[in-house]
Amino acid sequence: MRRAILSLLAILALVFTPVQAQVTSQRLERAASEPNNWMTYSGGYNSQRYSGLSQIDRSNAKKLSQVWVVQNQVPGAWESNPLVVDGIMYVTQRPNDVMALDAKTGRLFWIYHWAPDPGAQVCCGSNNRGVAILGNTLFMGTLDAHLIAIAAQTGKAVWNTIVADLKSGYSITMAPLIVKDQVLVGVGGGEYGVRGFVAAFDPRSGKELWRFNVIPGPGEPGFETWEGDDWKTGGGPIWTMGSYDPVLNLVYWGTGNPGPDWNPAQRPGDNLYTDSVVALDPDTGKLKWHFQFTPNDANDYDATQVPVLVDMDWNGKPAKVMLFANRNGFFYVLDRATGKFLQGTPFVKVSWASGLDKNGRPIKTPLDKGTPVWPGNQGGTNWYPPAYSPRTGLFYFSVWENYATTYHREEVVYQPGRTFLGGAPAGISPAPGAPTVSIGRRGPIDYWTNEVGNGATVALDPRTGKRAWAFTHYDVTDAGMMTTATDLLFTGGREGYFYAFDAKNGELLWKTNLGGSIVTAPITYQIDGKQYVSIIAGNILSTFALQD
Amino acid sequence: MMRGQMDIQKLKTIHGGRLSIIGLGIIVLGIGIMLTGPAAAQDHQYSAEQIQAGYRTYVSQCQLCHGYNGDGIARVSLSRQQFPRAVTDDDIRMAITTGNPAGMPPFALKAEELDNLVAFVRSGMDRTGTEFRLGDVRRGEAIYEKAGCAACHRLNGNGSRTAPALDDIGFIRRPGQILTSLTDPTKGTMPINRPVTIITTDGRTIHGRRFNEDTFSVQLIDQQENVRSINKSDIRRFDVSMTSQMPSYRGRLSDVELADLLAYLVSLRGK
Repeated sequence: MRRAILSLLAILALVFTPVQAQVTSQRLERAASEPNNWMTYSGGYNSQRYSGLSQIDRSNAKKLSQVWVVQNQVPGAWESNPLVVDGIMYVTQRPNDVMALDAKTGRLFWIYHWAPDPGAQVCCGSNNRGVAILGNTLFMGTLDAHLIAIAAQTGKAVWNTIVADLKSGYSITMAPLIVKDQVLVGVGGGEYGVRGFVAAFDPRSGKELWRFNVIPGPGEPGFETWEGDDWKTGGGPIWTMGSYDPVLNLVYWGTGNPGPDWNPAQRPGDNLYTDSVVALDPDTGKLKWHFQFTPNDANDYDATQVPVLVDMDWNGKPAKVMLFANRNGFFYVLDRATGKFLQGTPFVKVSWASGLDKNGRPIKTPLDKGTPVWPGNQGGTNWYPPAYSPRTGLFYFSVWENYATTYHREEVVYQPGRTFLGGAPAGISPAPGAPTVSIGRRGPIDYWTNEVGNGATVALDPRTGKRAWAFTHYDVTDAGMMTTATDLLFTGGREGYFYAFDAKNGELLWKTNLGGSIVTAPITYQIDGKQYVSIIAGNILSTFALQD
Repeated sequence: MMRGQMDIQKLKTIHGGRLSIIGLGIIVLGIGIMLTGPAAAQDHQYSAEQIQAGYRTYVSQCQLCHGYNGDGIARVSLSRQQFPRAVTDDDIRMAITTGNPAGMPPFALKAEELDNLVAFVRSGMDRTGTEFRLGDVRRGEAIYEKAGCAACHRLNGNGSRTAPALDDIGFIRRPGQILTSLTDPTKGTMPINRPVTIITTDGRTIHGRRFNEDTFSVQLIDQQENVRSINKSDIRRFDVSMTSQMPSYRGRLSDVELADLLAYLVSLRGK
């Protein structure tokens, strides 16, 4: 009898278990073991954007067809990265809306709307790159530098805390990162002379737990790389997503440009820790190591790529490395336990430096005023999330080739909340004085031509820094990457094509035109035995699966 | 900075009325604002020195509110000559020296500084400082007819479509750029407009002007004024000519005639 009651209780427990299981931080650490879900921005803490799903493969990719579409009514680039947890997709849209929808049908459950203060300033568009989830709570940073906790079932705000002062030019565009029951979020504002930081918050209360200032203050190591009061307006925002190694207990973040952007003469010194990657203790926010890619940067080379964590053989020994394709045109391999430089190779034409020394420090090339600088202001690559496949051993990313910028540099006086640029970039033209096109977002008629640069989807062998293959686009591309256990690579480009490549050799297996620029990365998930692939292009969020 | 969206975002702010990124302390109220056409500038010479000096004054006095691209104030685009009221160069001087109740303070500038600012604004905020002279619009219209521009260009529904239509050329291009197109067309051509010659895999040869291109296809208008889209997989040979087919009008027209024609083209701002 007792046994029968226990059985009944067990059955009842099964029946009444909520559909949405709690997303614990342990579950996030083991994201690779549940490829049906896409639970963090990069699909896992190592930020490889590699999925174990295998239903869609090289033989059937040409049978991909659109299952559903969500159109948004919000103008501007849609750079959000959806999460999918237990059949529900959470995605943001401009400026700070969160949508929960049925990942099988695209039907909406709810929308949460936050109207950021009209005084919020962002240099480059009212972007938001997505939410993080812990337990049954979503977390979103906002343009006016709030962090908001939202109930995943209902879309109602649980708490709302101010992370930084928007009047000083702070903003948040990144997706937060959950680490060990803390919500980690960084700030943008590198064009406004902010002092960048990343901070941890209590997911239950919104209380700040620790803060790491990218620009060290008086008495802190690195302070000596600044003169006078330059550090106070030194920039170093953290505006893209971080990675986490639970075994080493380190979180990693790339840091943004020093302020003012284009006038390095106004801030002599290396300007630590701008344009660097920092490794922090997630329990305290203390700096464990740093590696600076671009000291005293003149060209706005934010180091804001997502750090990709890979365990691989290096010189015949197993190694824990970080792969980092940098806006400055070099591809780096670092020891992620110590920050030691292992290798660095240019992946595009680089004119600002002739190479890297044995410690990875750039050997700068003196350039005359007005000389074009390669890579140009948008970089050889940028924040577009890369991917790494442990199966192919290749690193995949979007590259801008044959692309340069000239700079005008000027003294600028800091005023709180005003742009603090120190000059301006100008695109180069095919002939001196000839008209050219802006690098901004473009409409259906594309005035861009490959005379002033073109994009490429590149597969790099991290052991050599050499290309295994590349697919050349006519336009440039800001698309992110996603790769699978069946050796597919999904990506897109500004032209609006969404592609599936053979990740091993770059063969184009399938493409479709979605009619709007792809400026974010694909994700994949599985529900009821069916694998889906989602991508945002222009103003649509489109989801594909194999035809039945 | 510059994650790729700056210019467009600012345009949106103006045209779409979105206020999300306006952080300026001074926002012009829409009282009595009327978008007008460009100044009926008559025979004005703007030197490179004036334009460049005007740029320096602009940076120190104006940029804080009007922005790097001159579009920091709602419904004003200095680079595109969209002003609330000003029409003539004197109107611009007056607007600067008197300010306005919407929030612009009066600026006590020397006459020379005002001239320089006017030159910089009239140049479409051309930081390279291409000097130009605007002559008489009406005489320029007659020169447009006489010089045979309509043999290739279309305007007000007349003329060939093989070269770009000019109905809004004064809105989409700066005076210095238009002048360059008249005097050094190869240099002045927008890259997307370059002449192309295509030989298809089945042996046809197509000459035309490019409209649009991507990784897989090219769109153009051919010399018979047919609009065509061609898949690159159907192309055996694809040549993009770096040389414009337009003749230079330096020497064909006198400096006075060029100034008149330029004034006319600058006045074309679309419907």
